[in-house]
Amino acid sequence: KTRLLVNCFWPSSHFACSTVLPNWVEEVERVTEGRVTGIIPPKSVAPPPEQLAAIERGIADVAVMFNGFFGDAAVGPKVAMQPFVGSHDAEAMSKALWATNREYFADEIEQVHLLSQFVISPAELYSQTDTPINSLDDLAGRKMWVLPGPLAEITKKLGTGVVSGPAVQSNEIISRGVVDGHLGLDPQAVQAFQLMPYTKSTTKFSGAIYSTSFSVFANKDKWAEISPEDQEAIMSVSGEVLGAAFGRAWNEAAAMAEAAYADAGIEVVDVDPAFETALQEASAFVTEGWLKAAEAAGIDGQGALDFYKSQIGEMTN
Amino acid sequence: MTSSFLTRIIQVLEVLSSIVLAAMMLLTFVDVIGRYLLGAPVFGASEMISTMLALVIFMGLGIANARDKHIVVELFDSRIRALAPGFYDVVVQGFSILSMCLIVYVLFEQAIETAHTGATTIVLEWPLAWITGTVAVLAALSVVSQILGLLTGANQPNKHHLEDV
Amino acid sequence: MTTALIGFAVLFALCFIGFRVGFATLIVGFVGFAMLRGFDASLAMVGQQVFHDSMNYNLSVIPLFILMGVFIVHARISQDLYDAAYAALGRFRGGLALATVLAAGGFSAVCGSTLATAATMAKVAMPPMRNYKYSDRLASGTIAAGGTLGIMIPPSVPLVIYGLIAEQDIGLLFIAGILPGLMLVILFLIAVGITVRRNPMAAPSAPPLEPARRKEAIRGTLPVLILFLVVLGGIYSGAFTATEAAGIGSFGAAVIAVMRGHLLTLGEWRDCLVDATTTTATIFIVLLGAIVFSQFINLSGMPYDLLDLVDEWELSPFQLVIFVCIIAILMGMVFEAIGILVLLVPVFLPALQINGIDMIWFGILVVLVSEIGLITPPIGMNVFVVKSVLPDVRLGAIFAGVLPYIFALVTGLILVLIIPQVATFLPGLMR
Ligand code: NA
Ligand code: NA
Repeated sequence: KTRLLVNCFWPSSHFACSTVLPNWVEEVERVTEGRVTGIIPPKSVAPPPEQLAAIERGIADVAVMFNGFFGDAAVGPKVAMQPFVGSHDAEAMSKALWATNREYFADEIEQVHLLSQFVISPAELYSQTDTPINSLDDLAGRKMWVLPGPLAEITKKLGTGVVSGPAVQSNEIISRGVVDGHLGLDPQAVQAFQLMPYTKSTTKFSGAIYSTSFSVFANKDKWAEISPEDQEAIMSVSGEVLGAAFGRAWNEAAAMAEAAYADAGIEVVDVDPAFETALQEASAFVTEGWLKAAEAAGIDGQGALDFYKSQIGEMTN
Repeated sequence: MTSSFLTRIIQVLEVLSSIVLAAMMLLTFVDVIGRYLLGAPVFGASEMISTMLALVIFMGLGIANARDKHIVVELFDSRIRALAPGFYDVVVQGFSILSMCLIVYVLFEQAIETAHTGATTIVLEWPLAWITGTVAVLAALSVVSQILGLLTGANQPNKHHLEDV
Repeated sequence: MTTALIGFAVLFALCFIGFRVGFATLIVGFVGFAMLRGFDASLAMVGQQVFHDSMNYNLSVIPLFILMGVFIVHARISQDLYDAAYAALGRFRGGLALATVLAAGGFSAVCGSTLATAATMAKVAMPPMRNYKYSDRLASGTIAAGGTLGIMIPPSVPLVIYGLIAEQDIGLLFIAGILPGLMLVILFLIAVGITVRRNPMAAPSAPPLEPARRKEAIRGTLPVLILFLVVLGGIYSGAFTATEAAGIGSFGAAVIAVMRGHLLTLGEWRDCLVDATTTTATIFIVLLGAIVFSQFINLSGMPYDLLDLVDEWELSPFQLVIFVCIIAILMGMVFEAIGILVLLVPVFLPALQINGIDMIWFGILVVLVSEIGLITPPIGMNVFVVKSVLPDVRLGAIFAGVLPYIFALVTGLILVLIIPQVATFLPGLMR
């Protein structure tokens, strides 16, 4: 009998900790007929960037981590973090990422046993002035809060006045009128961080500017304790199934947040196709950089990228 | 000899920590003023402040440890100490030193770990290994001053230093 | 639950023997975690927690608000505060004691430490009360109790620490502390009134201030009022974060000190900065130890067991809160505010959250209870501080003197319990 200590780095009230992971634990207990159980501690046992170290050193047995925190140890899942590859459907993106993982970089992460990878709702572009942001010039001329990473690089290159910092601290900057817009938060985050009152409009892109992806993984020794049959049973409720559950939860949260736009007076503006094309071209360098990193890591980057997009396309049609 | 060495350590720490804490105050002030009056906040100010916090804590610890300025539940301690003062002091102070050694050890471990992964701060992309390493060295120094404080008796008179408050 | 209870028992034993509280919690937490997850895992956990919390941006308010308090003490503003308060309340019976309460409240508005508030007030309020033959009991008790206002009226270090543990916004907590703080000032004034009515001999009448001194004192308190309004107004309006408010506050306090002719030499600056630094280090040792210990409690199963216990006993959320408050009052007999917060709150956090308790309200309740703990025997830190500044006053007299204020605090606690709006009204306007 094995008991897994499942860590959740989000606040305990976040749906990832209160719904998705507890449901997965229940499923694990069901399919292993109680031979493998799980418990989620009341609060996270490790800071968000330390989830991998926490699992390797045995602080917990299972954890979720933002793929950006892997550094060079996980290049593959960043396929889903390329500009304009994704869609607005986090469930479809999550399934596509897992399929791409199995096909192109299943063995990449060695330190831990990988259980799933998933993608959350994409970051949206929000204006805090009366004018919606709908041209490259406008975006370049503003002062914006932008998520650190590719988005910050892209907008800095455009000449935008970029204020950057961890997403959890974004509300301190956004709510204080320091910036005229923000880019990097998904609708759920805008609602959770109580930023709707400070946001006037959002630009609806046909594609997704940028999404973040996560990995779920288990300690290797702990995993080895579990019999092969039970391992297989657990994987049958992990992988695509768990990823889809995370994606679905984000879809629902995004839909709820979007439904609140009207009451908050947030106008939804359709993107000018010329703006979308221009932004897409301006962000191409990010993907070029990733393709090189993928090659260095021995991954067929272009193949993975095309496969990921086609998987999303299949599910959306 | 040991006592003048300790005095020297504390003098250096006092000057350094004063500078860092004053800089921390000025930075938050300048950042806010810059934001509202000049429209130009300091880029990455919050990360600089976080780093300064760690420095202030562990520099301050070098001074606090030398004088044993740590919180004690003063209920039975003096009566228990009276039973065997010498032995009591060795045990209690030894425990404090041991605890600080644990902190030093895990901080060095953390520094080595971040040096391996090459982790950086999010916004300014400062290498975390440098910050952790510095903090670990400061923590180690605070153990030195803790031991010297014990040897020279600098930690003896009134534990709470109420004249300071 | 047994593991956690053993952990608590060992920790209390170590503290009573005289081991330093911060180090004892660190080691018990480390060993406890190692027993649950292994030695290497425990080392890794301690490393992560110590490093990340030493670099936690939200905690940088602690050194900055401490520095603000040190500067304010150094500015020698307490005499003006006291005289201005006396100018307002001097004509009533027990005027000097009433002024002590009001001045302590004013001092608390710019100083986050209860010990500093008590020590400072002891220096300015005791001499006149002695002069006019106030009883030692009334005089010293009022000073010790007045000092406890320091952690309810913002800025407040314990509220910052509560915010960290309960994942609550520090700005909201500070704003939430304003009304309960004012309420306590009023209750303390009433307590003085009742005391001197029952025993008029304790507070013979004293003459009013000279008009010139009166004007001077009132002018001297203006900067304090402005500083408080800037700091709290900035937080309230969302103009700056708690950390930024602390930076502005400490800077403003330094300016006030300079304007009053202090902080003119580098040596003075160094003394103040070093004082704030060492106090910060002392607080963080307790804090880091407690964070490590709370990770042990986190995995011990105790929080979930308590949750089940609440179900089993069919406690209503309100009863649960009262239950936790009673435990906090008992802990307060021995531990000071930070100790209560870091040991008690993590244990009950899940049970409180699942029962839908407003965690801002609860934070105010816990801090109020900690204030009681600061003046109850056997260990009342504020009583000890007053004793150390006034060595010739008997400890027993101070403990007797705080009794009316303990009643006032308990009344305040009951009021906040049955009228949560006292704590939640102002922050509600901000959200
Ligand atoms: Na205060
Ligand atoms: Na007490």
